[in-house]
Amino acid sequence: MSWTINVTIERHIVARPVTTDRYTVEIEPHRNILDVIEKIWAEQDRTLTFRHGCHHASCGSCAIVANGREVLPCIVHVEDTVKKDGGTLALGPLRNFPVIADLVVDMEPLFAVMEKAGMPIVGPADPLPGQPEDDYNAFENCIECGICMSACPVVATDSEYMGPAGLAAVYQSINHTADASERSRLLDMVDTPSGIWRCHVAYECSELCPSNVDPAGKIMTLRRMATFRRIRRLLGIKEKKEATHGIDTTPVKQ
Amino acid sequence: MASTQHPSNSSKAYPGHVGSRPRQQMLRWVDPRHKSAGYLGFIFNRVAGIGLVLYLYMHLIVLSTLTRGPEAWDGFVAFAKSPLILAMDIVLLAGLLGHGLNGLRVALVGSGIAVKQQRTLLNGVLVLAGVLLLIGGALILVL
Repeated sequence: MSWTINVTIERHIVARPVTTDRYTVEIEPHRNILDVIEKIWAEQDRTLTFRHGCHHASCGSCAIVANGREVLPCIVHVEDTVKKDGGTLALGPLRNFPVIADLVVDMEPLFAVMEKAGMPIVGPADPLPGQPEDDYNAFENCIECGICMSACPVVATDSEYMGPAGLAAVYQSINHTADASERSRLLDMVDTPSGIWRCHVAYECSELCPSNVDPAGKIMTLRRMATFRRIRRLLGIKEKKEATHGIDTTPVKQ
Repeated sequence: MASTQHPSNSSKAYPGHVGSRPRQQMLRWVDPRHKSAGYLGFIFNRVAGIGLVLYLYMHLIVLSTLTRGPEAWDGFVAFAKSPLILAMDIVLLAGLLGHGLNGLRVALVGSGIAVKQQRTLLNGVLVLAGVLLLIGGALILVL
């Protein structure tokens, strides 16, 4: 059985005023939001610009805002967002990024901070909840979708803030290197007013992260590392094993 | 397909660029729609914080009636016993309890302590603040 839903899409076209376009779409409620977008593009409006790749939450390229929440439209069902036949689905681009066109944003600010963090593209992943760490050797959990940056209220108002993705990347980099001086350099990079201390503990990044990265938990752990380091320095204790502190990397229980 | 122009947006190459619409970005801080529990706690602390600062200045202004003699002060005390002011006292207590206890949670979690229990801590703060508000509210109305 199909639902008939009302879809609104923010249209961002260079040198034109921003508009909201409305479409009526018939679609099965179990289909994904990306299916809705592709249906509009295929049947109603070939000028609609959007980005997608894998269709299964691996590439992170399709992230948008749907009914006020940042989502990966490739894995979120229509029925979970629209709720009822005849309901409305409001779509817009990610917040806190430059908009290139319609639903496509420029991810350069995110990639720049990830590069600064020395984030390895391939490396050991965080263990999934309840799974032993040794059993996994996969890609990094972070798919660089930008959802955390879009949802963060501090990123919205402070362009100097490194943001949850960048800070989580620094945490990963610290734990991936055995070089104490490199760990210290990375911690220096985030132990600043625009780094870990700028987070206002809203936890929206961890709530919305589709990959279970838990950026807010990582930021808080970095704060603990930085605090312990300052205390050790204050007491004149030699810095030796500052990278781990026996940190448990399992995600925060949601 | 129907189209509506956004009145607040002029034509810009990058309409959604960081910092291009500071007022809208600031308003997002206190927009509770579609937000999770942690974010609602974040909003509450900001709104309550602004309210408490305003109360502090109002309190100082009220205290200045002392300079106008005992009659002025007695008049204010009589006014302060009115139901409206007592109700406002309960709102003030709610703000103080919520802001203070949630602030302790943020301080703990923000220092890397009990990070994984942040949601449980928030629920605990709500329960504790509710109980203390009931007791405090009853005392305000009875005494």
